[in-house]
Amino acid sequence: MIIFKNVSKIYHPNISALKEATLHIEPGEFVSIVGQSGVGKTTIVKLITAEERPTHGTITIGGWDITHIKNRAKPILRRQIGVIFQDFKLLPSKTVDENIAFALQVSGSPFTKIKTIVPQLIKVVGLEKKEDRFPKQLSGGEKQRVAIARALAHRPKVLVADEPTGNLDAINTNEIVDLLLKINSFGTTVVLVTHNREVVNNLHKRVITLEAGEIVSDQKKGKYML
Amino acid sequence: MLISFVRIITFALQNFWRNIWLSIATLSIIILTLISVSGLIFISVLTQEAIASAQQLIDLTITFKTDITADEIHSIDQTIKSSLPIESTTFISKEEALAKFKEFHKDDPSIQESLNALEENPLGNALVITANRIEDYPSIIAYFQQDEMQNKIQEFNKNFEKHELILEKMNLLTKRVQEIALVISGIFIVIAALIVFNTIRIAIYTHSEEISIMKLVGATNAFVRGPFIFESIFYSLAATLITLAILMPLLSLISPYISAFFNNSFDLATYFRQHALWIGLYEFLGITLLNLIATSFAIGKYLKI
Repeated sequence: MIIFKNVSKIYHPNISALKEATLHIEPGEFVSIVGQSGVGKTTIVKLITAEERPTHGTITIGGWDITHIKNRAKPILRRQIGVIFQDFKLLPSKTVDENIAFALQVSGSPFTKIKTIVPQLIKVVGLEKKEDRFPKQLSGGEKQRVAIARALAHRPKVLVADEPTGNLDAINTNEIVDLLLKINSFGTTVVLVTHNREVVNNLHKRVITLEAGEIVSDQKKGKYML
Repeated sequence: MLISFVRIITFALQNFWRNIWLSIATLSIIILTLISVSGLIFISVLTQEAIASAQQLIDLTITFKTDITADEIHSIDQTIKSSLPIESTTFISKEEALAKFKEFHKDDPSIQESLNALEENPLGNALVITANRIEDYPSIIAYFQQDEMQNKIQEFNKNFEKHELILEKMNLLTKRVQEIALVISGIFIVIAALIVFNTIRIAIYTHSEEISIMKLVGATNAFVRGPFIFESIFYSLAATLITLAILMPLLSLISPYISAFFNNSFDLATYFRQHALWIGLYEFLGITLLNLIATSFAIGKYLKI
């Protein structure tokens, strides 16, 4: 599903965010990418979503080589990958309903399709009766649920979660992780980028560990080692 | 395509309404700019009107010798009308001239006595000439300074010289006023454009995070840009209509004072009512163009994700 071959990302001559990273994530896998701050975890997310281009190496997603992806093709790629962020990245002037619908509206989905899918997604993430609220009227956990619902709107084959529990308390963290596991159980590949030791250790899933921009370990049923 | 267009318009209206204070602030700046630009238009019109009024005060009175007949003067009138830049001429017969002279000096017994002592009317027929423009007078004066014409004209050389001096000064003043008005207008329009440009940039800057989110969710550049472009057109339209709505009663209020200055020969409120459509249209097109450039420029750097 996601293949990195000797991928490096150099921002400045002396700053290498990622060094010769090679990884292969299979369809339907749940993979945690762990490491301390500044080791290149978010760079991997940005490379997957084509926010950044690799300096060296190749990246393939679902058989599509996105190493030299053109700007006009980026929206097409992003509609196939669901992404959630630590700071939720919700549109502040849109309601829960509209935030989720927006992901479908940008691709020109018809009104009838949106009217069918959005309530289903709201139900999946457990936000019934809150669809008319604006992000500022929601708790952190609720905002992240909206972000997950939006990421799922296109029924993506891959869901990338960049520190999704970073701004949440323990209860909300567990709920979000459970939601990610539920999504994974439906067959969606989940890439969880985190530095939350407890979350990773409770998952018992594949763990890729980064240190100073290099992959230092890749365990099938791993633990947070650092 | 149609679905996207409908959504872009919906998002633009939502943006406007849900960020109402930012919208009002942006709209206010654009309205103030348009009022200022309208003010410049009115100042320019009033300047032109004042110059035209001053021009109307100036004319050239050619008094012919007593032996020059009315027919000869009509012939001269036809010739100069066809060959010189003349707006109008008025023939004043020697009888009319004498009657006016007597009326003017009716309280001066010595002049009245002198006139009664004369057996013949000492005044000649006259032609009052108004040129098309102030700068046309020298060519008309030059025509009457030719030897052939000098023989037919009664003591007027000094008057010509006076006229020439006044006309030169008037010409100079007119040009200076026009130049100054142009420079001030230019400076003002540049300032207004910069204010609007930066207001739009700040308005879009407040949406920069939103723009990057839209891009990450898979929106194309056109889909992100669309609502902002439409919103800026909406700002322009609303600002133009509000400006016209403000100016209409405002000008009705101040117009009587301006009319009094022009001896009721010019009414600014009437001028505005007659030209409101064109003023509004040009202002709308100008401000829309400016808004579109500012929007495209400001939004461009946030689309590079």
